[in-house]
Amino acid sequence: MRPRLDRTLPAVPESVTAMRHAISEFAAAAGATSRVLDDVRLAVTEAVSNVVVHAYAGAAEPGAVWVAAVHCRDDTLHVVVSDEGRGMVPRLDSPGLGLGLPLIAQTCSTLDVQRAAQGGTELRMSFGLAG
Amino acid sequence: MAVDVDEPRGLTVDVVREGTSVIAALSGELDIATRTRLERSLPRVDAGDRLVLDLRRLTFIDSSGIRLLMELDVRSRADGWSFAIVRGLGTVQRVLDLCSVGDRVLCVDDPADAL
Repeated sequence: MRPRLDRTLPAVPESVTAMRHAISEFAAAAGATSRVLDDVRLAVTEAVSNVVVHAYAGAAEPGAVWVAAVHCRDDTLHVVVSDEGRGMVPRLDSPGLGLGLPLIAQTCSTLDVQRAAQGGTELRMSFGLAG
Repeated sequence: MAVDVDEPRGLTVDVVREGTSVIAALSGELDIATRTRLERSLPRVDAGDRLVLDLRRLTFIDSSGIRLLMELDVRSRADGWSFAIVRGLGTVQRVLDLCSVGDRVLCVDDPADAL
């Protein structure tokens, strides 16, 4: 059984910090180098922040943000950040600078964004743990 | 003045005023959960004053923190005060570099260089 992380939290700002610390501990236990650890922390922070800011915009209550990770035999860390929100839709009142996805793309080895099976958005990232 | 935000792994802001200069030293992590509290911790800065954010003890910053830096830059230009950043270390400075913050904001290695 490969080591796995599976955590669900409400999509609120405090969950961004909590998810970052959770993935950081998981990646460190998997043997990530210091540089890769920094990359994983930043990418997951940006991905979860996107869920907090965009996924449930206009909803009465914040929905959930889900972070799952697995350490594979090829020493790759696969991370999925997903939600059950409204999916990627144009937003003229966006509070961000549009830096989130570019920062994620700069820090992970592979990146894939899909419509999640349960609705919402699913962001898949992988990181080579050896750097 | 020290303001604790979500310790132990949150954000601490130490603010010192020297004449017309305000130096705010940040320790810990700046993200979407702490940026609002940081903004509230910063004292009023008037036209002709100088605000220096010291990032040397910051251990994490994301695009939410970068946005706050950019907002302070815009406000400083609109209101006639000056704004500078003391460069961070490691991953913090790497994020600032990735976002080309230095193209917009005066970045120095020591607070004294900004005064």
